[in-house]
Amino acid sequence: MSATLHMLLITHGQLGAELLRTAALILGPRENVDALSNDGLSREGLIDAVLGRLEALPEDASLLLLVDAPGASPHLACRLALARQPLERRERLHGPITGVNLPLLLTAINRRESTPVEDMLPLLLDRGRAGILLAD
Amino acid sequence: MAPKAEWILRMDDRLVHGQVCVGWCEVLGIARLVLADDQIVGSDFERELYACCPGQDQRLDFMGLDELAQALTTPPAEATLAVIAGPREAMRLMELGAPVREILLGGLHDQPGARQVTDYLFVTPQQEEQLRHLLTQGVHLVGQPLPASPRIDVARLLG
Repeated sequence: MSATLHMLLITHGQLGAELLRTAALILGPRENVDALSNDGLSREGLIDAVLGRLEALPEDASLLLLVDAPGASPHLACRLALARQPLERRERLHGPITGVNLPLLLTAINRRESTPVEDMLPLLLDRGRAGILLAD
Repeated sequence: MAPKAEWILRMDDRLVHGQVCVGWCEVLGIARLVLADDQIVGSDFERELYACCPGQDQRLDFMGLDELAQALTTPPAEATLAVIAGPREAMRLMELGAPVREILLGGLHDQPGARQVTDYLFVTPQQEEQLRHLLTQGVHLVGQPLPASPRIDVARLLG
């Protein structure tokens, strides 16, 4: 699998940035993993911000999109931005996966260079859900 | 206790999103939401997109502004939170004869040319003019991002 699977977390507040900072404490800093906050952005402002990130993606790279809550503005902006992509770029964009949590993110960072994206998406869903337990 | 069967009209440029579904409707026990927007009501894609926003016990109806204006003339069968995008849409409702008495301003976010009124209200000169026009028509504009937030008189904020 290509080593150029970029990742972008789009979330409320600093959730995405803090998840990435925490992941870096555990796995070490990684490149091509970024966060975008919806703080202060209107619906169109957030869509434009996402569009900017998609348009900045290198031509040989793929991108996995991760958002926090289904149906929330990061999710909606992501879907709307994806709908505006040319086919060539759209094929290199994956997700969004909603409900990003630390187990999901750690798996994504660890496996993105070794696991084909078509296998990784269901794996991430599984790992994210498996991280939610009543562990008493 | 079930919420009163009345219209709550909210202005939010993010339309229906987490704060509306979870922060308002889930907290107040409101099961019905209306997204009123002339562009979105005519877009299959955007209606499908916003349809994923409400929680399991909530349902979302889509209306054009003319339909909402008509709907507002009678009390709803159940508590209903209707969302419009901004002051322009509110003015359109007034033009259509909607009996609008109060609008909750939940979010007008920053954009080029806007001045900050509160941390969740940024207005361009045109939007400010529209809000002031609404005030002259007797509409009570209340700044309130969440049900537990203090109700703030937007007329006083605008000065």
